[in-house]
Amino acid sequence: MAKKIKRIGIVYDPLNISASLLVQGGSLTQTHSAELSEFVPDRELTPLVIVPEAFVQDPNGIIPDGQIQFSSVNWYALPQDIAEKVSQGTILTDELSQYLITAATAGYSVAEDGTLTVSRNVEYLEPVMLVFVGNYIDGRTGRILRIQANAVMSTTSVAVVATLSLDKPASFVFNPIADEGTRSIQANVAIGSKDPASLGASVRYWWYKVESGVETLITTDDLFYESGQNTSKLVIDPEYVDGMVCLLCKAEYALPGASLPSAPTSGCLTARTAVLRRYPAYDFEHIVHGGVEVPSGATMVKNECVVTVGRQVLENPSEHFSIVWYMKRAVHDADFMVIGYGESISIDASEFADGADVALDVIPFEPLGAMTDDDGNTITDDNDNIITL
Amino acid sequence: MRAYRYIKIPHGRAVELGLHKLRAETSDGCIIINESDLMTYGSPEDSFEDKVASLEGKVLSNLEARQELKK
Repeated sequence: MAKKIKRIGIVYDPLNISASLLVQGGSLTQTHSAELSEFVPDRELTPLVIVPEAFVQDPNGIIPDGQIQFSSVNWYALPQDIAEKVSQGTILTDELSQYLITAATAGYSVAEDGTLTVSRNVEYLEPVMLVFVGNYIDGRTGRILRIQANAVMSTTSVAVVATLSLDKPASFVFNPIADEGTRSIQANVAIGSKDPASLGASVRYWWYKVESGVETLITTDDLFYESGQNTSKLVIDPEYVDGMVCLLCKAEYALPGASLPSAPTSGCLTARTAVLRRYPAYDFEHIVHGGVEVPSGATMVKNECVVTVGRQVLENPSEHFSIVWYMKRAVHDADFMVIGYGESISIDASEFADGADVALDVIPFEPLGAMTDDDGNTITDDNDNIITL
Repeated sequence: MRAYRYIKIPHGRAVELGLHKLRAETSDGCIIINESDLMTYGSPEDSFEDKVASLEGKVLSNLEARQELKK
C-alpha cells in the first residue's frame, strides 16, 4: 500500500511594500524656450538625480520594518507611445527590453544602488516615462519580489519675445539753429532679456525711409544718409532732411545653426522713428540807426536786422537765415526792389531825399540739397559724387 | 522669461550642500549648481545674491556654465 503524503509548510502573510522615487537633484519637469534654445533647468548642466526607495513592513514581524536593499535594479526610459502600450498591456517583454537603460544609453546612468542620473533634456511634446523595476528577496521564503515605480519627465514650452528698439523716440527734432552735426540712430535687438550675441545668435538690419506709406531702402542716393545701412547704427545728416523723414528699421535674427534671410521677411522685427528738421519760433526787427527821421547832414543810414528766438537775440542770424533788404521809392508805381543781403545794410542818405520805404525779410534756409543746373539735373564731380549745397 | 542662473561654487561648499555627487565638476575642481539648488539653502530672508556670496560662488549664464564644463 502506497504512503499517504501531506505537504506541510509555513504560510506567511504578504509583505507590505511601498516604493517611491525620490528626486534628489533637478526636476521632472522642464521648460523650453525655442527662441533661446534653452531648457530650464538644463540637465546637460545640472542633471536630474532620482533615487529609488522602498520600505517593507512584515505583518508576521519576522523581517524588521524599514528600508530594503534591492537585489537588482532596472530602469527603462519609455517614449510616450510605448508607455501607453505598457499601460494597456499590449507590449511584449522583448519589445520593452530595447528601452532598458544600460551603460550605452546616452544621457542616462545608473549607479549600483539604483540611483538614476539623467543628463539629457526632454523635448517639448515628447515626454519620457521612467520605469523603475527593483527586485527584493523575501527573507522569509527566499522568493524574489518585483517592485515597480514610475515617473514622467516632461517639458513645457514658453515663448520668449524678441524685440527691436531704437535709442530715439518716435520722433525727434533737429533745430538748424541750435543743432549741428550728424545724428546716429542705434537699433537694439533683444531676445527675451538677452543680448543675441550672448546666445550665439546673429542679427541683420535693414534701414528704410517711408514716404507716403512706401518703404524704400536707404542708399547713398539719399543725401541725408551718412553710413550704417545693414548695421545696427544708422548715421544721418539732418541738414539734408526736407521737413521730415520717417525711418524704419527692420531686423532678422537667427539662432545658432539657423541662417539669416537675405532680405527681411514679413515676420521681421520692426521699429521706426521720424526726424524733423524744424526751425524754432522766431521773430525779427528792423532797426534804423539814428531813427527813421534822418538829419539833413547825414551821409549814410544804417539798417540792422535783429532776429530773436524766444527772448534771446540770435547772434549771427545770417548763418541761419537769408536776410533780404528791399527799398521802394516814394514815387507813383514804384515797387520794392532788392537792394542787398545780410544782417545790416548802409544806404546813402541821399536815397531818402524824397522819402523811401525800406523793407526786410528773414527767410529760413532750405535744407541742404543737391546742386542742380538750370534743367534740374544733379551736378556731380569727376568722381560722380553729388555736389550739395 | 528671466534668465535661469547657474552657480559655480568651490567643491568644499558643494560637499556642505550635499550636492557634490549630484552635480557636474569643472576642470578646476569646482561644482556647477543651479538656482533651484539654492532654494532650500540659507534662510528665507537671504537673497539669491546673498546665498551666492556666502558660498563664494560665481553666477553663470547657461552659455557660461556650458563653457566652464567644456574646459
